[in-house]
Amino acid sequence: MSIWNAVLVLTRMQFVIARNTFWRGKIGRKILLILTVLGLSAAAYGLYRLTQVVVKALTSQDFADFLARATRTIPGLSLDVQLYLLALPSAVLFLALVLMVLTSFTTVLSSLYLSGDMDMLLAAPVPMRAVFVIKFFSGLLVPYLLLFFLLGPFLLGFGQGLGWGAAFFVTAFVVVLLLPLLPTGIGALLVMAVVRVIPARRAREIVGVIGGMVGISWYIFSQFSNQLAPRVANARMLDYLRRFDNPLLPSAWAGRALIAAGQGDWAKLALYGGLFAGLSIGAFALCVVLAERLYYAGWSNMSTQGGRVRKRRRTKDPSTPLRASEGRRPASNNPQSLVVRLWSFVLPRQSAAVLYKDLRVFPRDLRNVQQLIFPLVLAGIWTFRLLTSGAPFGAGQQPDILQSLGHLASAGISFYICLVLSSAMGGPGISREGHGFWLLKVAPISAWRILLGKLALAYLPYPTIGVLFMLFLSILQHSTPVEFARSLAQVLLGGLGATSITLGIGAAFPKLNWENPRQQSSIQAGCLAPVLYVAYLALALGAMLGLPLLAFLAPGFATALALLGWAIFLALTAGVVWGALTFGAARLERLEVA
Amino acid sequence: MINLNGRQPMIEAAGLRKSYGDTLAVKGVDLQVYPGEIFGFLGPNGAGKTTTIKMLIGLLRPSAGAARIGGYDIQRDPIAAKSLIGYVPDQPYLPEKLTAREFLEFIAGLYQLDRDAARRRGEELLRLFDLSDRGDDLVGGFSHGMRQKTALAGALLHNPQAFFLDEPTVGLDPRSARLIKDILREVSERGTAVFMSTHILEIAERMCDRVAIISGGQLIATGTLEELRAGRSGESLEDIFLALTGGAEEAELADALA
Repeated sequence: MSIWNAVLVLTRMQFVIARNTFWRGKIGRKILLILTVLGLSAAAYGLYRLTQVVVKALTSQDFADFLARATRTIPGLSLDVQLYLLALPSAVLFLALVLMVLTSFTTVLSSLYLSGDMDMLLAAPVPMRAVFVIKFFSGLLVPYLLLFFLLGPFLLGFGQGLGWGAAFFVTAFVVVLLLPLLPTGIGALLVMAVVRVIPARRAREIVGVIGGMVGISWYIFSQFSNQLAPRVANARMLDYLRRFDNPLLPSAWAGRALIAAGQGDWAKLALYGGLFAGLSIGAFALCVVLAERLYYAGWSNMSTQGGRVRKRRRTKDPSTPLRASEGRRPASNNPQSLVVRLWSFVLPRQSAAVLYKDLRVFPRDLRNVQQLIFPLVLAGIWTFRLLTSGAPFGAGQQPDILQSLGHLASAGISFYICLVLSSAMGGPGISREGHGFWLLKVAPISAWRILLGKLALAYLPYPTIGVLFMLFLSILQHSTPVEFARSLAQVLLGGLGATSITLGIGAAFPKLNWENPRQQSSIQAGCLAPVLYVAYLALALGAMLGLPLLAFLAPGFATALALLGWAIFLALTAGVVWGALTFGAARLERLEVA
Repeated sequence: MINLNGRQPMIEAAGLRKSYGDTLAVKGVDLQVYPGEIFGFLGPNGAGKTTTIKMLIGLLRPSAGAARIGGYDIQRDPIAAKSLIGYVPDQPYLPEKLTAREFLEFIAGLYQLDRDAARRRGEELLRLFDLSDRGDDLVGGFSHGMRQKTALAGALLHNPQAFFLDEPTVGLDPRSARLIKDILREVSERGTAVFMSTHILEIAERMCDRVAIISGGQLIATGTLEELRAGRSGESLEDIFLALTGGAEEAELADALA
């Protein structure tokens, strides 16, 4: 079968699959898809109109006057509005190119190596390059949608705002069509090189963590941007816009080709358009040529999916059983084993086995570890701000009410950090078992004990990170031991209640057929759990903090009211823990594994 | 010859039914499997074999009827019943981020086995299945056959008295398949009741003491091979199976197409 014939057959197959997915999907899914398309269309139209307005504003007399004023403060700043306008497409295309470069690795990795039909395609007499072409463009589906719904309307509005003709619009269409080829081509070459060494699934996990780190870095930058970067809104930034029109950048070639098309400069259109098209198509062609060998080599490496192969244990005599201590770190030196031994004083052995298994599995999937990064960074940022604020809230000579609010805020911060960590570590609860849930269902372990083991994991951040963070904040606030103990008790009890609710609801509405760890939570659990634990926290804290406030009515009963508040908090927490877990266990017992 | 008289069945299904909406997947299955017996459960695709097994081990709730293991009702006394069960599914989804040894340690914890004894038994099973050298590798990197053997090791760790296998030899090389057959014979000789569903009639013919054939959710034949062959001298189990399940027409069609 020739490559183009094969591409045609596979493309037709993709269309049939897409059509069947839509026609035979649930009505809710169809409605969601239609609403999404309508929403994107509305956004596209809004962007088109906005661009027209902006372009008109830039060519208005008001803007010209603003520039005239700016040149009095910034010598050398150009008065020519056209220069800034004509640099705008290059700047936007540069941004689009950078975003695609950053996301191309993950996009291409998933489409080239992690689609479910690879075995069938590669076993069939279909040229490897044809499979590559189809998978390459499958990965470009979402980028193309975004480009046509976002970049397309911008260019349309831009061209119409300047009154340009058909040549501009045709060139814009070609630019949007060719733009993803270069970054995705580079991404594909990188992916094919990487998966020769690292299995595709492992590479996806690593990229996920790196992506998370990039996102976190951006968040940190945004938190400290006032200190790190000068103010944005000044006339000098307009001059920076022209720097994106650098003739060394491929995005500038595309931008200049667009401008040339709009202005009718055919020579420049041929030059810059030819350069951009040549580079984009050339990158794609190079991938197709190299795919013949590189693509298959990476795919054949897929068999090693579990990650790092551990060092093999040496056995002295294969016929005799190993002694327990041979070739293994002593149990007392293993931090996880220490945790389990501590928990085994309060947990039944079966629940401890579930906890130990989860503690082992959690850090080995980098996608799970990635979810811990954000709350830890958040704790770091808030700690830094507190250390550098000079007068931490609630510290020093302040009125009692402010000090109380300060201690409550400390408890709130600690609680929030632990809540996010808890959600990452044990939030999905039973859903984390996925297709492997049958092991627990067949084993002689009750649903209650399963949930106890899960609760131990999900609650772990509170008595560890929570205590440390509270201790740190209390030292900053110069709290007394009683105030520290009170705040800590609030965090620990509130955490126990919230965790139990999340776990119980998660067990009552599990989602076991996930493929991506980010899809472990069912819609019911995702919606119900937060509502319920917020209600619980409101009631509990309301009783604990509100009752003492009534002391102004009966001054002699201040202590009694405070104790009553705590008693209600305790009783409510106990009730919530028992109720949520019992509810979850009852539903779990009746869960079927088809 | 196994003496079935006067013994209590280890595995018992009494009027098991399972419906999904208007569809009746299993329409009333009655069977008993005795200690030391290898029981073959045969049927065409979609006949209800896996559904029946899952009702017997508690993964599915019957719409009607009862499933008992060692006399314990699996729905009313699940813990007592499940402590007697070992199960190997046809597609064993195991925790991919655990090593084989860690997986066995996890099973030992779930079944509350003595730690040292479980570790020794685990090493024996790993050695038996040629997994000793791969015992510290993550299960996620195992082939299907290796996962099957790991699941088998986990199911045998606690010396079950009722052993369920769903298509145990699918995906295994001949050596591994032979090993499983030997293991099944050995555990049955130790008194374990083995309940095995399979498509491979030669295995059922060679290994099973009794077989049951299910089709369309109903048991259509149960007994020893001699009993099934009664009045059909010289016929193989395959011929009997096809005759009972109506597969003879498909066989003729397949011949015509070839």
